[in-house]
Amino acid sequence: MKPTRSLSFKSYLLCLLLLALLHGQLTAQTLSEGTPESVGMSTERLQRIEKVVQDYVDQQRVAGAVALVIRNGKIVYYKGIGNDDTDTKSPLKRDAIFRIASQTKAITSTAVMILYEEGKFLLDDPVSKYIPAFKKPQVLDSFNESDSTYTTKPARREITIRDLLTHTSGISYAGIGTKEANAIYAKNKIPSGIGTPNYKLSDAINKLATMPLIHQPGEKFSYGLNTDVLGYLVEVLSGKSLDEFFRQRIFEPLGMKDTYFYLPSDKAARLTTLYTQNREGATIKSTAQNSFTPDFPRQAGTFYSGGAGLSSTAYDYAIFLQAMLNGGQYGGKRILSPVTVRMMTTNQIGDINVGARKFGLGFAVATEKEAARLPISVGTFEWGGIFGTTYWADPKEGIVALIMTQKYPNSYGDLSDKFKVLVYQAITTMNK
Amino acid sequence: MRIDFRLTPRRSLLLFLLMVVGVALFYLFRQKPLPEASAESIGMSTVRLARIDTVLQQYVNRQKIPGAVALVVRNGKIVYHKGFGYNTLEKNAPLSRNAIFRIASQSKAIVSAAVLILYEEGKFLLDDPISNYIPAFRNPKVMDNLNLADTTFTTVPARREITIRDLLTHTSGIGYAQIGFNNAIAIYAKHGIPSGIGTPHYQLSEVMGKLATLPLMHQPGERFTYGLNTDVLGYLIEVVTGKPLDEFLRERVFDPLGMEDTQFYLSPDKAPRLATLFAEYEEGETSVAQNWKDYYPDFPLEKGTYFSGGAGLTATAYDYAVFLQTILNGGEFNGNRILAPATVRLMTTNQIGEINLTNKKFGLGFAIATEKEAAKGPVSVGTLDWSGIYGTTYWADPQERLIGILMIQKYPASYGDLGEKFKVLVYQAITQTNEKEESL
Repeated sequence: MKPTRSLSFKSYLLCLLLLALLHGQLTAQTLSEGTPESVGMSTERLQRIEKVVQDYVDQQRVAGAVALVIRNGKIVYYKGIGNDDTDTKSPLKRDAIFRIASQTKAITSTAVMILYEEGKFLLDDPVSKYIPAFKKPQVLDSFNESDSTYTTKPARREITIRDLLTHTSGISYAGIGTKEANAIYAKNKIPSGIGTPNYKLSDAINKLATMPLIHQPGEKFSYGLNTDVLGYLVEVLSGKSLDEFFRQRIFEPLGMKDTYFYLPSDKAARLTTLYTQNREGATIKSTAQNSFTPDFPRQAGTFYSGGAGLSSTAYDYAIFLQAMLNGGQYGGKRILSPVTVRMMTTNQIGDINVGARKFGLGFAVATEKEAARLPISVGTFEWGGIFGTTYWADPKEGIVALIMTQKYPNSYGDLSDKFKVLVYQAITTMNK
Repeated sequence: MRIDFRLTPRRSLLLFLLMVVGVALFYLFRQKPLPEASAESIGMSTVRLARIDTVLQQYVNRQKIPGAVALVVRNGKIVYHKGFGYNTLEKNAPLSRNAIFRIASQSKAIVSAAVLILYEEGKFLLDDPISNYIPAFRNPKVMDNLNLADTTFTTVPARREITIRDLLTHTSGIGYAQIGFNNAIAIYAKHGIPSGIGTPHYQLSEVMGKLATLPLMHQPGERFTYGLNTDVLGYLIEVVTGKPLDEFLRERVFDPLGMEDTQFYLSPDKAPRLATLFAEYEEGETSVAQNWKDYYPDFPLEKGTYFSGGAGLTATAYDYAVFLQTILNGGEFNGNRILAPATVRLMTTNQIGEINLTNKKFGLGFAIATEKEAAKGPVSVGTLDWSGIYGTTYWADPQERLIGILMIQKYPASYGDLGEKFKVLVYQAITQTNEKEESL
């Protein structure tokens, strides 16, 4: 009897150990490659991605692109196609670092929600409670085009943090905002967040606070510098620079090793070449213009634009999106509660529309209309960056996908919708 | 060696002592019907729940609140139950988690449940005119013109009678004394209608008879107007059952559910557990609440006769959690059923059609979160909530099987946002959301 008993005790212990290991495995799961067939997709059909992207490269519509597709936590497609440098014909590597511009917004919104979870503020608090310069906002009333002078009327209410997260505050964009805002922001040297590495965030945001809103808070969706204000809010509430906060609370916990405002010297060489197009529509290298230099991520900057400042890889950004699909955790590290992720990916703008989409807290959210227009599912959340990067995450189909190019302006932006078609046509079994 | 089992006097004494210790240990470690459990065992994080401590302690330290009791229940298990801060101005006595609070308007959900207990017995239908049972409410009048200078008014006849459903949903047109809008405050003050709080020696029948003769603020069913509706319902219970409201609640709600610390007026042995009511008459200056005219902050210590269904009860956080758990369980708790699941579904379903309470609807005694409210977050669609004027607040989320209760005793006060922050702190501690289930 005795040996048997001790054996069963040992096997009991072994079982416990295995269970513990399995549990650890399950909760600490990170992205790994898998065959498309193992997650209900077709290898053969996925190859159509390369064919179409290569076609765009051959026709010199883009220099190159990195495409990454994840389903149910498995990487099923991850490739660099075309060139980084069109002169030397150096290939575009899949771990190239891209200027992700407005893809920064979802990360800054996440940082805001991390502080929200700590009870630091409520979403409907006026932002002036934390950044007093925003007290008593003014709304643009009349505008004189000849000299960019204007009159204002008082806003009906204060701007809230939720207004900023949903781009409904009435703050516009520098350079790409409304005609009036472009003129007024230019005259007052409000930076767009891109290419002004030596500005100071507190100066820029406090100045922005004195500019007129282009409409009443909450009235409309107006893509604007809202997330730059939120980046500064994170600094004010945490007492840390946005750069440091991102690193400590998001990038390090999730293992995003290639995401930076300003690249360390050992990673600078991986920054992709930025392209533009000439009058004839040909793809050419982008050069420094006025205060903007394509090299801005290689500088030792001090300006942390929460709306547009980050550079990252397709893989790193996929980790961030997978953490969202996982309900706020990745690799055993939780940065948000699933309840908060639900809020971020739920319509927050009522009857207002963003094309055929709604907007959550930091992401556009696909409606039934959008899911009818394209092959994505209802509830897919997405955004992109001005330099030619696009992403989406589809909670229903367990899809995370990114296509990254670097060209602005670009007449061939239809590649991102085509990429969506190509990813979904490769699905052979739909999730329940 | 043989062992002698004979019971000597010495041995029987020992045995007796052992039994006493055993019984004492049983009572000491007996789990209450709402047992405690680790956060991790029900999909929440202990580390994240500790953020509640940080924020509540901060509000205590900044003297925004004197103290608070916070209670969180998930999937029928208590995962958080703590008292913070003090129960005295001198800060020499901590606020115990077992303190008894004036729960004021949190009385309403309990009295609404009591009304539905009688409804389940076929005593009346929800669309019956209240005047069938309290004749003084026959032929109601609606205010037309009010002269605020001398509180004289003209009226028009109401288009229909007030129903019991109108009362349960605050759509009757009856307003609130003291905290209603101006018109109601003026008229009710002139006619000596109390708010239900702090006037322990009034008589319910007298007050209700008088209230029935006063004009409604609008046509029945037209709008949501928070008012003395639940006080009328409390009186309805007395009329229908022939029992005082306190007795009915004890027999049919508190005793079956084991709510041992819920009552209108405290027995002497419980009196020391009544939480001190604080006030902030001037911003930033916390003091102990003062008597004002015929209003006593310590009314629960009186041997009162006035049982206000809208505002009169006192309870612990634990007891109120038991009540809410009963609702989440579809009407039963610990093997005792007080309502059928079908009735609980009625209570927790929108009853006011197109009328809104900003982003919420109203059932029978509870506000109900709509999709809009759930987007605003962090609660789920269908979450029930309400609160009491002295600083108590609660919600029950059927989807996440989550109950949150925060009890403070300070009025007037300036800590306004703490209730919402508490919600955020509770929900961010969820690591595993519940799968969508069929509603209750």
